[in-house]
Amino acid sequence: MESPRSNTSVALAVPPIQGTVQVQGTRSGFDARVGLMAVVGLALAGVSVAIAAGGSGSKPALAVLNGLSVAVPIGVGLYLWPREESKRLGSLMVALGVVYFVVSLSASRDELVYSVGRVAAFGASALVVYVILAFPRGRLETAAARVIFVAVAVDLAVLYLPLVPLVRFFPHPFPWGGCNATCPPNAFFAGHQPAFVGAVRSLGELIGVVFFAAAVVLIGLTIRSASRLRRRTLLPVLVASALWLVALIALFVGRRVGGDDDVTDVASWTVLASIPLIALGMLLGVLQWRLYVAAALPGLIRRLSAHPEPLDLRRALADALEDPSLEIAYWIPSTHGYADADGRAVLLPEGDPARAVTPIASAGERVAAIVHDPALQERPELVEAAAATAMLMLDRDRLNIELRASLAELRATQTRILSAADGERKRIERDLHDGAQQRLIALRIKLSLISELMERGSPRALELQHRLADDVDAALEEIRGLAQGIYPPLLASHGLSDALDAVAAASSVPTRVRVSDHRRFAPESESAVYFCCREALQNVAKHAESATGASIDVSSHDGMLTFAVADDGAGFEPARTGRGNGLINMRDRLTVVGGELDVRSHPGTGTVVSGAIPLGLT
Amino acid sequence: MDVLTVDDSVQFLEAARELIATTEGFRLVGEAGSGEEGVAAARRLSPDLVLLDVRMPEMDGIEAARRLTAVDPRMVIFLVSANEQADAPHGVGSCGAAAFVRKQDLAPSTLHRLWATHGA
Repeated sequence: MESPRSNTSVALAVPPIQGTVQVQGTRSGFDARVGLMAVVGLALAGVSVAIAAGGSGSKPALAVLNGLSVAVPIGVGLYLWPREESKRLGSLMVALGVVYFVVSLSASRDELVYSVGRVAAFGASALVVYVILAFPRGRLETAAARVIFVAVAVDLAVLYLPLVPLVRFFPHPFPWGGCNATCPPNAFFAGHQPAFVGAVRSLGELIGVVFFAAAVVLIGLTIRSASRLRRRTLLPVLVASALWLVALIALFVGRRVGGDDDVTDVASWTVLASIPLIALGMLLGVLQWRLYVAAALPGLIRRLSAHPEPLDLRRALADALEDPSLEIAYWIPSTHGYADADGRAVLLPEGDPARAVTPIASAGERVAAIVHDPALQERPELVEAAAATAMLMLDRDRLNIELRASLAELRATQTRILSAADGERKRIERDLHDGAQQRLIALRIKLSLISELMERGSPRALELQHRLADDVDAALEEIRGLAQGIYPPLLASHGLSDALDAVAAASSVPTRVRVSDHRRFAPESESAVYFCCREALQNVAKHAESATGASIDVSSHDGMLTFAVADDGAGFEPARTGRGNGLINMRDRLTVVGGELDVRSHPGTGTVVSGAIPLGLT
Repeated sequence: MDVLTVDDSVQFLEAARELIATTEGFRLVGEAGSGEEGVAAARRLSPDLVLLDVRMPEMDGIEAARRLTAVDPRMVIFLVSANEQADAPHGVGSCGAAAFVRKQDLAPSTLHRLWATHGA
């Protein structure tokens, strides 16, 4: 497997949005070696034709197909070879043509030449299996492909080659030889071992048939699971390959069963014709891909000239690259994540073999990521060029989406603040109702009692009256505490230092307060810092059971008013604990005044809750 | 007359204790701090009169009044509240309570008058 390209970023400072954009692979120009090889390839094909034409089973069709089995693979190989991404496949195809030249020697009447061709056919079969399983990258990329190739190669090397010296005649019909009953004897024959040969050959053919069938199944699965883009490249090759494998299986079975000569004959001709067909299929797949690449960018440029909206831009890219699954994820620096066209956060797929990601950057800055069909990874420069073509619009959309994302976040904060304010009002009403109101009601009832008792001249009137003072004091205390919670008078009159001292003094955890800037700030900034510090300190008392001390530090620098509440308690894992209500309250309070909250904690190291607000001096 | 008081406010329960002690012919037989406790206490004590707060967490006075009426339809229930009747929830009139009284209006004379109207 090639590693996905998700780590490579594309820096495109100047988007080529004008003129003709040409996307090309690395082409090294016309190479003299290619020319030489082409000449050699043609010569080999000519020799093949000549041998078959004058061979033992001389038939014109055999001569033509033998020549094509040499010329077409070499020709396709030489076409693919100069491009970096298809160099490996090109080399394999050239090798295939050369090997089939040797195989075509089996049409000769000469014993030795014929026998060399017959033996070479074993290696040729293994090479064809390799080429079709390795298409289009020239590498066996899946474990199943590797297993099938190794099994076929071992089968041929262990169960076929050793039999060569033990048979007087090779089995027939043999597609490339054309001779049936008239075939020359085996030049490598050393001695007869009919029983041994029969047993080993049966086993070898059985294994061969099983793994050829496995290759057909694998090809079927590959076509079925391929994306539209990849199928376009794969289909011609895979169909021709499947044809070859099925015909080969039929030939094996036919030779063994020896029944219907017509079936064996058809299978033999099909095997013969399959080799040039596989090579042509490869050419067709590659050409289709190149046509698609050549058409992609001009189409995109046409679409972009209409200045599409973000969603249309996605469609334009998807259409241009013919990948309906294509998605654009815009980089939003403020959230340090990606968002879709609606500003919703999205996660890039990781480790998903069905999706590939190409990050897009402009002048070294991340702009977006394009999530696409992995088939496009064959030509990453195409995705990059398409993105570069769309760069201006990507960048424009990204800014809009970033704005939309922050608006959405702001709206969420506003909603939370509104409901928090509602909750706060409910709490105050509840406190008033349960506290001061009930005390005043009790006072009112007792006053009624006193007046009725006085009318009766009861001594209990005086006793009750004495207790009224305590009730009034308690009611006053209730109201004072409530007022303190709404807006501490000390904060209003004396500022953060005194107000936080009072908070620390009331806390059950010994707390040191250090305020290094005693100026007065905007009331909303002061109250945000005050309530955050108070909430954080209440959390220390509530959650950090083992805390023996805490500190509150407030200072100002670089135009920011900052605070930090630290404790030496047990600490926690912020990522696992999530956002408690207290933390959300603090964060919301700070967001309103343009500030930010930071919580640092680890199990065993205590907790620091800190925040910073842009400085607003009164 | 045996009286049961039900309210989540200890201040009110304390004031009601004084009130009933001072009101001739009435005797406090029990106090409850919630609707559920009130219903349980009423089953146990079978009071003649229940002073029942409207607003309590969990089971409120209206629901408690419905259950009390189901237990013993002859039990007289006065709903009490810090608020006006207009601010009380629907159901005040239909829950089986005999009267609605503002807590601040409670006095021995009020109790006598209400009992004369609804109790006898």
